[in-house]
Amino acid sequence: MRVLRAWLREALNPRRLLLSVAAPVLALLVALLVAFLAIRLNGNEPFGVFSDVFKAGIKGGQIVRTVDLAVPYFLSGIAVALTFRMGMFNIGVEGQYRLAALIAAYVGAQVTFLPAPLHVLFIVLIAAAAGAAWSGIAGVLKVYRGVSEVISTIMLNLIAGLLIAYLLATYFRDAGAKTSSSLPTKPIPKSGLVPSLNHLLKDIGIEVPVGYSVTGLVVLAILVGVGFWVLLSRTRFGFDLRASGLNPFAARASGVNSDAMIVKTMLLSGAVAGLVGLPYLLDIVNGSGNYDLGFPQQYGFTGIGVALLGRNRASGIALASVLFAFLENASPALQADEVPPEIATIMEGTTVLSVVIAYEVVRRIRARQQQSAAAMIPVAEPVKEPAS
Amino acid sequence: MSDEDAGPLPSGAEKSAPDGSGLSDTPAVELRGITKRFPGVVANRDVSLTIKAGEVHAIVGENGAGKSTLMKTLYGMQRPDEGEVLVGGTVRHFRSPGDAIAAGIGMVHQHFMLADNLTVLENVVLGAEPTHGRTGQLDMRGARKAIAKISDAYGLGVKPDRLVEELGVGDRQRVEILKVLFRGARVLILDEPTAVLVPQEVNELFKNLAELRREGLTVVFISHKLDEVLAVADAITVMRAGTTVATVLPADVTARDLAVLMVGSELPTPQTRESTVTDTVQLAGEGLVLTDLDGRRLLDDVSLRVHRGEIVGIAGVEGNGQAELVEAIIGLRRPEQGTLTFNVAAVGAGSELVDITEWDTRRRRESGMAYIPEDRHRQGLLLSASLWENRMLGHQTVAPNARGPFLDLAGARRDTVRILAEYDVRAPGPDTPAFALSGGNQQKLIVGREMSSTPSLLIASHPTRGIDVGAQAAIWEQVRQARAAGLGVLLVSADLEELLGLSDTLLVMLRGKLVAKLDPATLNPEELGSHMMGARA
Repeated sequence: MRVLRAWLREALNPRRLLLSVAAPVLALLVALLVAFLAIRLNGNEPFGVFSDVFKAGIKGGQIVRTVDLAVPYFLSGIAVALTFRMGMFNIGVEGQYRLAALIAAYVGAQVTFLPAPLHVLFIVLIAAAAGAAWSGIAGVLKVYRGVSEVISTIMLNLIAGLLIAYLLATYFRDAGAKTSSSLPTKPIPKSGLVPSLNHLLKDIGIEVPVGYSVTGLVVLAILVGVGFWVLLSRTRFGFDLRASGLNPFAARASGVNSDAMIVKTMLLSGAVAGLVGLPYLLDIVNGSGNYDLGFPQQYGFTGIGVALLGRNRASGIALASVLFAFLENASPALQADEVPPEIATIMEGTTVLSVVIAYEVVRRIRARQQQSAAAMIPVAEPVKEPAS
Repeated sequence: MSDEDAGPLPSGAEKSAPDGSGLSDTPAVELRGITKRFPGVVANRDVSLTIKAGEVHAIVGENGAGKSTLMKTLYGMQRPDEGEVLVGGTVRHFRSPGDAIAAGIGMVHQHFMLADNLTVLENVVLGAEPTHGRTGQLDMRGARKAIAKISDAYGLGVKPDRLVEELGVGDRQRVEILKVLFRGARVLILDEPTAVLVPQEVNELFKNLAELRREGLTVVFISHKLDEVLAVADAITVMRAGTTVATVLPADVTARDLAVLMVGSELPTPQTRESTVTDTVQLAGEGLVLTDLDGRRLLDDVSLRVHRGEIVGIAGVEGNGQAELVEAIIGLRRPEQGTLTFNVAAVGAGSELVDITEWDTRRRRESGMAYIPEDRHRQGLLLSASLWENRMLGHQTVAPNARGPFLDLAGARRDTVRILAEYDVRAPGPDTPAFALSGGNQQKLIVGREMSSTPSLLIASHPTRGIDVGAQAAIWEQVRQARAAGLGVLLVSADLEELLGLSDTLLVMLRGKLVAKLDPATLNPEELGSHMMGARA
C-alpha cells in the first residue's frame, strides 16, 4: 500500500507533469529568441518574418515538400540514434548512404526481370547491405584494432567520396547517357521505382495540391521507425544494446558480448544509413532514378542533429526531422522577405543546442525529485536477527 | 569576502607549543545545532558535538547515520542550513576546505589522494608548495626539513624520497596524515582510516594517533568498528539517523552497548548455523593462471573447490587477485591456463560436471551462476534505468524477463514488485530509476534479482560493502539462506567479521596465490591478518 501510494503521488505530481512539457517548450522559445535577434540584427522585422514563414509553411504544397524531405532526415536520424543508444557515434552516415545509393542505383538498373514490388525490395536490400558493409568496417576496426569509430567513420566518409567518384568514372557510368559530364549511372527501370502516395491519400480524403507528390518512401520510414522502436524497447537484443550504452561494464557482466555488440550495432546503423538516399533515388515523381555527381549530400550530417533533437527516440526523431525539413524549406519565404536563408540553419543549430541543454536541466531536476521520492519511504523498524 | 579574522596561518613545521590553548577548557571544535537538509532527506538534524582539545574523539554510527555529512560540514565541503561551527571558541563560516585548513582543520580521506609517480616529498607539498619569498622558486630544501621535523615529532617515520607507488597502504596513510599536518592542521579528521588496513597496520596507526595526541593535536576518528573505537578513543560520540545519540567514555561502555546505541537494537552477527556442506562439487578451478600485460601473474596456479551447501570465503588484502579470480569464474576474463568445471545440474538434482572454461558469461549465467559484483555501480546496475530494467540485467534472456527473442515487460515488472517486497527494497515502485535508491536498497535489489533465477552458485564479491547495518544483516541472511538451500557460495570480502562468521571454508589469497586454507571456527582475526600479510605463508 505504502509503495502504491508513493507511486501515485509521484505519477500525479503536477510539477512532474509540468516538467515533461517544459523542456521542449523552453528549448523552442530559446531558439525562437535567437532567431528573433538574428533577424533583427539583419535589419528585418522579426514578427513579420516569422508570420510569413509560418504562413508559407502551412500551405498544402509546402507541407508535402516538408514531409518528403523529412523522410531522408528521419532515416538518417534513426541510423545515428542506433549508435547513440549504444554509446557509440556513427558520423559516417554521410558516406554510407551515398555509397549505398550508388551501388543500389547501379545494381538496381542491371536487374530487369523482377516485378515491381520485388524489384523495389531488392534495391532496398542492396542499399541496406552496402551501407552495412561500409559501416561494418568501422565496427571491425574498433573491435580488432581499438580504433575509435568517431575517427574511422569520419575518414570513411572521405574515402567513400573518392570511391564514388572512381567507381562512377571507371565502371558505373552509363556510357550511353547524353549528359555525361555528371557521370550518371543507367536509369533504374520503372519497376524499381516507388509510386507516389497521392492516390492513396485521395482515397482517404486528403487532396494533395497539383504539382506535388507525397513520396511512397514515407512507408519505408514508418516501417524503419516502428522497427527501431520494437527492436530497442521490446527485444532482448535491444536491451543488450541499451544496457551497453548505459553502462558497458554492467552490460558485460550481464553477459553481453561487447565486441559482437559493437559490430552488430554498426552493421545495423549502416543498414539504415544505406536507405537514406533511396527517397531521392527511387521516388517515381521527384526522384532521379539514377546516381550522378549531383546526388544530394549532407543528409548524414543533418541526421546527427535530428537524432540529438529527437533524443534518440523514434517519435522524437520523427518530430525533429519534420522540424528540420520545415526550416530547410523555409528558405524561399525568408528570401522573399530579404532575410538570408542561413537564418534557418541558425535556428536548426540553436534548437538542437537548447533542446540538449533544456533536457539536461530537466533531467537533473527530475533526478533530484526521484531521489527524494525514494528517500521519503520511511526507514523501517530496526532489523531483528532473522529466525533460522 | 574571506575571513579576515581567520588569524595567521599556523605553520606546520612549528612544533606545537603548549601555549595553553590545548589545555584550557575551550573545546578545539564545537558544533552547535547543525542541521543539513538535502532534497527529501535531513542528513543532519540539530547535531551538537563538543570535541576537547588534545583528545581522540571517535564518531561512530552505521552508514547513512550522518557522520560523513557532519564531517563535510566541519571541513568546509558544504555549508550547514542551520547551526554554527566554532573552532577554538570562535564562530567560523567555512566556504571551502581551504577555509577549514586555514583554521587548522585537516581531513584524511578514506580513499587516498596521492600521485603514485611522485615522491612522498612532492606529494606532501603538492598544492601547498613552499616558495622563496621574492623569487617564487620552490623551496624544496625547506619543505624537506619541515617534513622531517613533523615526521620525527609525531613518530610517523616517513621517508621523503620514496616514490608513493612503492609504499604500502599503511605508509600511504601516514603520508596523507603528514600532508595534513604540513598544512598546519591542529585538528585532524580521519574518515574510516582503518577500513583499508590489516590488523597489524591498524596497531601502527593507533600508535601514530597516540603520538599525535601526546603532541597536543586533536583527532576526530570516524569508524564503525567498535573494538577499535574502544581501544583508541578518549571520547565516543554515537550518531544515529542524522543526529548524535550519546557521547560516552570508552571505560563506561562495551562494544555491545555501543552497537545497541548505533542501531537502536540488538547487533546482528554473521553466524552460520550447523553445517550444510555436501560432497557435491559445484565449482572447481584447476591451475588457473592469468597474467597482465607486463607478464605479472594476477592469478598464479589457483585451484579451488566449492561444494553445494558450502560457503567458501576468500580473504586477502585487496588487489591480491580476488577480483581477477571472480572475473575469471564469471567469464569476464579468460585465464591462459587451467580449467573451470561447473555442475550444471539443478540444485538437488544430482551432479553433472561440465568443463566451462571456454563458455562466455551469458552461458555461465544461464547455467546457474549468480553474481553480486564488487562495485554495484560499475558492474551491477544501469543507474539511470528503472528498477525493472535492472531486474532484467544479467537475466535478460530468461523468464520472467524474456519470451523468445522478445522482452516480457509485464513479467519483469511483476517480478520486480515481488522482489521489492520480498527483499525489503525500499523504493517507490518498479519505475523508479536505480540511482534514486540508497546503496543498501540497490544492493538488496541486486541480491534479489540474482537469487531469483534458481542459481546453483552464488558469487558474492564484497556483498555488504558501503551499506548500512540493517541491509547488511538482510544480505547476510540471504547468503545463509542460499547456503541452506544447497547453493555453493563463493564469498570475497574485506570484512573479516563477515568472512569468519559466514564461511565454512576460508581461503587466503596473497599475490595471486591461494596461500592458506583455514577453518573459520578456530581462527581469530589476528591470525588471519598475518596470513594475509604473508607473515606465515
